[in-house]
Amino acid sequence: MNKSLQVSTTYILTHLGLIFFLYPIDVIDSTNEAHWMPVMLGFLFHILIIAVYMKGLSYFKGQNIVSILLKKSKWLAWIVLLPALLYLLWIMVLAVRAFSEVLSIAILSNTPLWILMMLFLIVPGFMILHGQIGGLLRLSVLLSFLFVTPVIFVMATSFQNIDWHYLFPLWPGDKPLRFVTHFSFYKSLFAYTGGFLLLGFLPSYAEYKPKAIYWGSLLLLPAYLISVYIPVLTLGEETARQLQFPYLFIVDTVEINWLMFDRINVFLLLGLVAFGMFFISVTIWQIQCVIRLGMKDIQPNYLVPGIIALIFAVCLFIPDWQTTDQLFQKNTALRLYVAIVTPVFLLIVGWLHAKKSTYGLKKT
Amino acid sequence: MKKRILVCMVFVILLGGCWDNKDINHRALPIAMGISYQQGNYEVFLDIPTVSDKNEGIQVISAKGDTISAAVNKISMNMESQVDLLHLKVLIVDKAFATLGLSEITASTIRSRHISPKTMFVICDEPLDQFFKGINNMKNGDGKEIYDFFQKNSGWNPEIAHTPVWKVFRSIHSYTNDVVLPIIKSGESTAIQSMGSGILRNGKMVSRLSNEQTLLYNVFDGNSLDGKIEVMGKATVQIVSSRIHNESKFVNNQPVLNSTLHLKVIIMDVIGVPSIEVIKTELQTLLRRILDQIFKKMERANADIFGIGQHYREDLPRTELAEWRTKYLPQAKINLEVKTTIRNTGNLKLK
Amino acid sequence: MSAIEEVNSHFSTFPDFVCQKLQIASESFTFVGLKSLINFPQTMYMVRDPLLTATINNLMVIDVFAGLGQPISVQSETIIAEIMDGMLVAIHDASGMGVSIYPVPQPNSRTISLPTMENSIGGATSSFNENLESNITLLRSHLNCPELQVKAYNFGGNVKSRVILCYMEETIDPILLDNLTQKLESNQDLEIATMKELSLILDFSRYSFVTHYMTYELPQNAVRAIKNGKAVLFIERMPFAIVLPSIFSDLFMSEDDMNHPPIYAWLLRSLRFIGTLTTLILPGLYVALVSVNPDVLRFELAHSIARSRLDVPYPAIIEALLLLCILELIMEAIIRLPNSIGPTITMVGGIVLGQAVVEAKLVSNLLIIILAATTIANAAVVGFQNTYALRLFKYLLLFLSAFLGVLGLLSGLLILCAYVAGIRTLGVPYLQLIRAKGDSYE
Repeated sequence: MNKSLQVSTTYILTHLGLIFFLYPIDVIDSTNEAHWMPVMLGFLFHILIIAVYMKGLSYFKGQNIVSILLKKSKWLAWIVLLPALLYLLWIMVLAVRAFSEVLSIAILSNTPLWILMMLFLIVPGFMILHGQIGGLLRLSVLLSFLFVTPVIFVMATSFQNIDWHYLFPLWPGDKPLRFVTHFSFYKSLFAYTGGFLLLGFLPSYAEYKPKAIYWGSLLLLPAYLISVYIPVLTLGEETARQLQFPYLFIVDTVEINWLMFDRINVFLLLGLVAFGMFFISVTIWQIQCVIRLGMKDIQPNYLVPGIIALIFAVCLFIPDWQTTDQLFQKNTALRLYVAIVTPVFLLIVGWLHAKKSTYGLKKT
Repeated sequence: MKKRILVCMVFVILLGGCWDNKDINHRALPIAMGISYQQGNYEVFLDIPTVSDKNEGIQVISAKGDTISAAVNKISMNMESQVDLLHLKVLIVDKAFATLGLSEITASTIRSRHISPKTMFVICDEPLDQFFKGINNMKNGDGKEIYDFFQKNSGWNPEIAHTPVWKVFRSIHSYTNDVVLPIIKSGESTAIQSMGSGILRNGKMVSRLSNEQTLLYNVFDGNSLDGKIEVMGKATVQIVSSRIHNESKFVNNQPVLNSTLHLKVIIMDVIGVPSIEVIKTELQTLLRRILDQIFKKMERANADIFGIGQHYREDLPRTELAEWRTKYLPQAKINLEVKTTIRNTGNLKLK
Repeated sequence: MSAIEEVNSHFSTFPDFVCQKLQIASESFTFVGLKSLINFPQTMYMVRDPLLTATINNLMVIDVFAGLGQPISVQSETIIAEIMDGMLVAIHDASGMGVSIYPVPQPNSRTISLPTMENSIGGATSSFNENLESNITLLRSHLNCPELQVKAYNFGGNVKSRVILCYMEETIDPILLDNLTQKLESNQDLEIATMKELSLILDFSRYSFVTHYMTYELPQNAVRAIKNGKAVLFIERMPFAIVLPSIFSDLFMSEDDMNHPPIYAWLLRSLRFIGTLTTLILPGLYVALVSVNPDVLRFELAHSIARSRLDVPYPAIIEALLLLCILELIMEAIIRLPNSIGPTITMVGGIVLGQAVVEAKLVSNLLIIILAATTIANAAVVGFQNTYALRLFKYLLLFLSAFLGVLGLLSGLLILCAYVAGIRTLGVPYLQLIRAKGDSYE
């Protein structure tokens, strides 16, 4: 059965939850002018890895990455899977921790942080336990139906105070590609690599057309640009740099007279939190896949609470935002390794596999 | 299945009783906060509309402290309900404080999640205790005048500058953007009286504009509304729409801005029997004169309230742009041309 | 003791048992049956007529007798079972041959009439009733095509009841059909008289909050469901069709919409969707905004809410729960009361109590407005079973918002969405539009 729509909404939502928080400031930090360059370069990188990844997967119809790799060679497989597992766990810790910190700053300053973190684990845990991947895929459609409208509304209103002059200069003066040497640029790539691994884990019945994924990522491009450019256009690059979460701040400056609500960034935030929780549940599911298929087939009823407890414990050990940020920076190398090695490795394995089978075919 | 739901429910319920929330009627919601600064000591005034059946007046409370939040805490401690700055709409500082510099309190306002960045920044032309006594004494109104005064859909007028905190924050960090803040004092027959506006450069008040100049500033800055202009001894006209066309270039390493202001006005009052042409030319010279005054003030104060430097972002590299205010702005030449169209003359004909 | 005597003694205390001898020419017959189920005079007339004609025409009376109905073995258990089924059993005294005759039945149902639970604005208004046969008749007259499959199942050991399954071979989802027939066939010894027993047979979770089936009184609704690949069950003495499985769109779409112009149909559906969201979110939003996140509100609104809650002595959640409880009581009470008293309760509950509770400063008047809107919106969804789920879910959102404010509201909504997305009925996911498609996974 064709599930292109469900897979591509899942893909969009998992990324949408990541874009608006840390991504803008990383891009703004990486360069002084012409912010579209790091955004576009990151986007191209993103398209490239998913293209390679999907090409690699297409050699094995209906199999997921864990079983493909384990069938080939156990040792080689773990070179790919172990970093991926570590990466997934790591990014989940970061996501839970960062989301709860943002919410604590933005709307719930009285609530203890551990409660927010627990919320960010229990709700995704319920999602995954109740519905498994089929439920998640369907959930993505329902969520986009419910929450994309307010998010788009807020995005549209955030244009209220922009000054187009800040767009210039479009082309940076000297050394246009200097941002490549800046660490923040690599940090910003997390917004592109967050959910792509998912495509390799989908079960065989969730067939999708690669075209749907490309269209999905194309829909994400405006979101990437808006999240970076709205703060820059409203405040100017010099001012935007001072802020922790530039986009959320800008949304707070929007005035709408006819709305009964004063702070419309709450809508954006809640929409994004919904997507964030969805992202976390998708990540739990990937971790569960790697463990169940690669190591030991543990009942999800026990495995998922186990993962949640582990993540929760790790999150409790992170004392402050600075540590979170450091963890985030340290994660960059691993992230790049996973983002580059996994698709390339899969492509090579797939290519060899295809060659071998055509060779076998010729022989008979 | 049931176990899972049960576990979730139990967790949710456990989560519940952990901390308490204060209901809305147990929070004091100030709409205006006055801050004055004397010898390392902040004095904070809070203007809290009383929540009661009859909607009667406001409550003004003040306290002193080393920091603003310390002063607010002191007030909160002594009040029967918790002070909640979430709905703060107007931030008033006295003139002395404004000349001293507002960078710090702007930064702390932005940092704090409690105060919205949309809060209006206002300078008070008289000592704050006097001002708050003045608006508290008013017998008419429900104590929300200060809020309504700056609301675009109620009391705001084009003669009043409209600058939220985030714009001040931007001006402090930006190379090319300065702001004007409205200046008010308590009035004789109305609660609040507008006294023009103050030019703020890098968070410090450096010059002042009159009410009339503020109107023109608003028009030229592109946020014109239905302002009324008196043409000396001839007529009063109302602006119905305005459009600005800017052309920026460098001549001999000197920024030149050719500006054309297209105004559409309708005639309200006429004194004597001037012809349309006379009103038109008078209006144009008047506008040019006032705007030239503003430009002079700008140049003297090195404050780019119109964001003229914005037009040169393409031409200047960032390092140069950082010196815009000191190096380029004083040399900047602004050629202003005003083109007015008198759209109609009301119900009466005019020769 | 002969079989017929055993039957006689079995039924000896039954006031409606009739055992009648009939002499035709030289042959004598015994007729037994329950007059509460059989219209005896007419049936006897119907039976005697062919037999008499046979004797007049000198035919073999015994042959004609055998042709009157289904031959049965003359054993007391068989005869008793047939009698309980409402059949007339006739025995030829000389040969001991038994025949079970389909009699003229006593009328035991309403005639086909207007629906009591559903309203139809633009379509047919004749509704299903307690009689299985007339229900099938109605269904057939609405869906007049040879592809309609009708299968009968007999359930129960001691107490018998018939269940009829209808579907269309080419539209129904094969996974659904497999699961359904397998469940029905493997549990035929169980009794089936209530919906709970049906749920037990079909193996639905006891802790499911969302209904797995829809019940329709109007045949056109059942027909639409069949066309959309669902299955319809009729249970004896249940005055509605049970449609399996129920899917998400059943909350918003009704067959009656098809009788309106498409634009209005879609507007009505969106209205129901908004109603669903309103009834779920509004009470929670009130509590969240009043007690946890008042900063989200505009200043004017915050001020006036604060004023309206001025003397209310307890937190918003208690206030809301108190009033919700009264509302639920009113809703429940109105079902119990006869039609003539119902409006009185509405008036006392709605106007008198509502006014008094505000005057007494027990709740804020904004809350009254909100809860009234909630209750009205609750009724906007299609299908009465669905309103139960919404009524319950709003409490989840209410509690979560009391603890975590708007974030709690959101998490509640997410939990609901995840719950809805994860439910499956007989292999068919709940979250679908229009067509019920099965899912091979899990």
